[in-house]
Amino acid sequence: MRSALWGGVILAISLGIYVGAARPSAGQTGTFTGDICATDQRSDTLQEFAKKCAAAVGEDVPAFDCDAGTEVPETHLTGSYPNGFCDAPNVLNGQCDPGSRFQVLKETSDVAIVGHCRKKGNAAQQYGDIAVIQYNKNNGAICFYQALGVLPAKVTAPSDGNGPGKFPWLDPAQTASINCVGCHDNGPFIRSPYLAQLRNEPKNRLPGTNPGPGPWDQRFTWNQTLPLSYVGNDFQSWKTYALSITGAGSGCLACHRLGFSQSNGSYNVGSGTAQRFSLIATAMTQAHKNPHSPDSPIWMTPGQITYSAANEKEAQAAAACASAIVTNLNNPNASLPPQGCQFAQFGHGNTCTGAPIQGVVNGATRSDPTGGRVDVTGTAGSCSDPTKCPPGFCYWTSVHGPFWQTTPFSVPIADINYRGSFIRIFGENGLWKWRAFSDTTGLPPNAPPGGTYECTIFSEISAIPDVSKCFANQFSIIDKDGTTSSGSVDATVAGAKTADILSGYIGNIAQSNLGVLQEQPDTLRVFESMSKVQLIQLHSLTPPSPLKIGPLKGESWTDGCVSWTANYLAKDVYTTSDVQLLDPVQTKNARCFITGVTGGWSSTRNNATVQPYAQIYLGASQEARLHVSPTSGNDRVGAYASCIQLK
Amino acid sequence: MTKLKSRYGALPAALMIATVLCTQAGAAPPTMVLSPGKKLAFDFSSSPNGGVPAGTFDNFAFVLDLNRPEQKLLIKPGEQRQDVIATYDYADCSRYQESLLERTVSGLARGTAAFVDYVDIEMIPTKQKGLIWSGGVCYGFRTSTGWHWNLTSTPLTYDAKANLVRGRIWVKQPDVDALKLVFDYSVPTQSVRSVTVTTQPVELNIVK
Repeated sequence: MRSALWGGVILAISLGIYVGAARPSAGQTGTFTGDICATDQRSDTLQEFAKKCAAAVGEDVPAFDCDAGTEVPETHLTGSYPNGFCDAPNVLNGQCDPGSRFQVLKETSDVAIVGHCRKKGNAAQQYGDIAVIQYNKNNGAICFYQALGVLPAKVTAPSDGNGPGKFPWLDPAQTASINCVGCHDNGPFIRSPYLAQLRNEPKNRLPGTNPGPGPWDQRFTWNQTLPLSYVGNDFQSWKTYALSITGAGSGCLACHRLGFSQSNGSYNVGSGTAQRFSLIATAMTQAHKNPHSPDSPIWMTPGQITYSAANEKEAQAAAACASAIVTNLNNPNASLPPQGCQFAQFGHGNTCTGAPIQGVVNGATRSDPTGGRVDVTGTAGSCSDPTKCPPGFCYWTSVHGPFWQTTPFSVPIADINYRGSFIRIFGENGLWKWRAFSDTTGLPPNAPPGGTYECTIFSEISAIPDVSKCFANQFSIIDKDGTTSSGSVDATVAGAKTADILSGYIGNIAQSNLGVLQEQPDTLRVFESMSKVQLIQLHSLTPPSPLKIGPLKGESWTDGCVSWTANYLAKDVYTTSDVQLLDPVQTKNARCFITGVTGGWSSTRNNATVQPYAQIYLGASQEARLHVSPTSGNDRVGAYASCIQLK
Repeated sequence: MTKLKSRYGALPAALMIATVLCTQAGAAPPTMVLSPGKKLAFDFSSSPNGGVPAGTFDNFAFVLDLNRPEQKLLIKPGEQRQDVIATYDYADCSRYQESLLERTVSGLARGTAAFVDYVDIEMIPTKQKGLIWSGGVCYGFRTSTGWHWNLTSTPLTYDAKANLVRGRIWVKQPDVDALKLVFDYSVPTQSVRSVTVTTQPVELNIVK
């Protein structure tokens, strides 16, 4: 059986693929951009950083005078700094900070550069915190500059450097350690009444806010669809994600993103627009803010004056969703987010390379047992950067079971009587898609299968002479009733040395470790042998009770390009526990994918809360490894994986 | 170092005798009880707003001086003295903030090295009714080898009886001559009224 996905590049761009909308599922489901980001480079000097930023953003940060900015009003101020109360305190510190001044340093159709000088109780012509954000809203390039201490009002351009006798800008590495992304995670600027009150300033109006009457926020675009791309060696680990919520908590997302972020390899806990600001913006009380009133309206929603319990409830639901996602991403053993609580990555370092897409479907290595039918489908094509769309081919970097089927092959999946489970990657209308399915209706609850999919664009792979002449062919192997103990399909594409992916795990693909040959576990795999690509299955006809033979289907994609030979750095590496696939150096420039599974993939433990899985992951030395679980018992599993070299 | 030796020598002889007797009698293993060390009390209540600002990136550091067990200090926000430095660090108890926290304390004078057991903090709670917050305090300590950081925060709790927010951090480090108290970003700016540092005689194994 064979189908093909040709010319996906042209078709997909013309269709303008964006976000593959994933429906509620039983496990963590979200989309990453699958970045490989160089986080071990030498720190930039301030001048190097400023030069990169000017190139990426398109405009340089000029010298400026803080005193020339517009003073941010602290109306109805009572008490003294930092303990005073006013109508619109800043959100950064929850303080009324009289004498602070804001200014737009440059603004074009593409670029906004803003400077904010926080007074922090200093004397005339002195400030305690001066910060600049330099942003291009078309390509998302963004840079942060920071100075702290007792600072003069006259500020030199960062491009002039920060040595002795110069303005004391922090070095980029120190600015990065402030972790700006921890708050600025849904767009370039935090828009609150503090700066939105400058809406009628002819020059120094915060970009993203409206002049005149009506709501102050430019909604639906600013901090909703704007890209973020962090510039500079010290900022390459920063990533931002937008919540996607079905049900409670989705209300806020109609107008703007709620974001969370990652820096230095960990997801930021308790900070940012989703986890923190959403709660502040809708709470009955805000730090050092006068009680909500027409002169001091509540932050959210714009135009509203007083507290709304309904709005706060929405914000709390969104915050809980974000918190659950972040907790689970930092610790995969933590509880899974609730159904309908998902995310999609939209921001990363500007030099990150790698697959434009990486997604998690029903959890990377496990999901929550559930009853009834769970059927989720998505498009692996959330392309914020059109130059990286669409991906060339897609594969699984982790899979978890259980995979099973109790109804006969003749009952189609669409039939309400179908009982079984599967995951697969497939092509449809020129797009790569994924689907995860489980139907336990009338049966005990079971865990829907899932895993992590990833897609790589052909232009990233080494030695491809012409990315417009690439192809992906699908093959499948079927045993309709499970009575054929072994079989193979020739998945070769003549004249091509291909990347061969095991993409579909449908039904009873592997159940037993006592197969047709002694010590030969049930196996589903795709591999190359004697210049032929083989998709094979073999399985025991007498699996241990209570398992029974039944339908199975395996699917593979043979991916390649004309005149290209896939350069395998690791090929069909097998493990029944844990194995290194690549050394750390090779790992930086490679893609690894699962090519086969063996053993007890229909079984679960502890009432289905523990599921069989295989996962490609980074080890302690940043080396690619393959791990499987369980590793002992009759339900132990194994897996194969291969890696190919990128450019 | 002379002081340390003299303390070792000052350990009560009775303790050692008791140890021998207990062992001979087959009783439970003896527990060595060190006499409490000096308490160093820092009173910031005469400062503006009744204390040193702390929270949402406001932190402060101070020098230990065993010859000044009680100090009354007036500190303004952002004030840089040789014995106390109140700083706006743009840093809190998060990972990778060490360089920001250390950047602002280079001007601290040397203090008297001591074994710091724990530190009690008293904050004047915000007067804003209905403001819900949570968070804690973490710390850095300076020894002869430089600054060291423990950025795991200890929760601050509200003492309704005294109407104070309190925190106690366990340091348990020798050779400490200065401390920096660092507050979670989620702690709204409040005033630290007082800090009490409890020291102990130096542990035996560090006396050479």
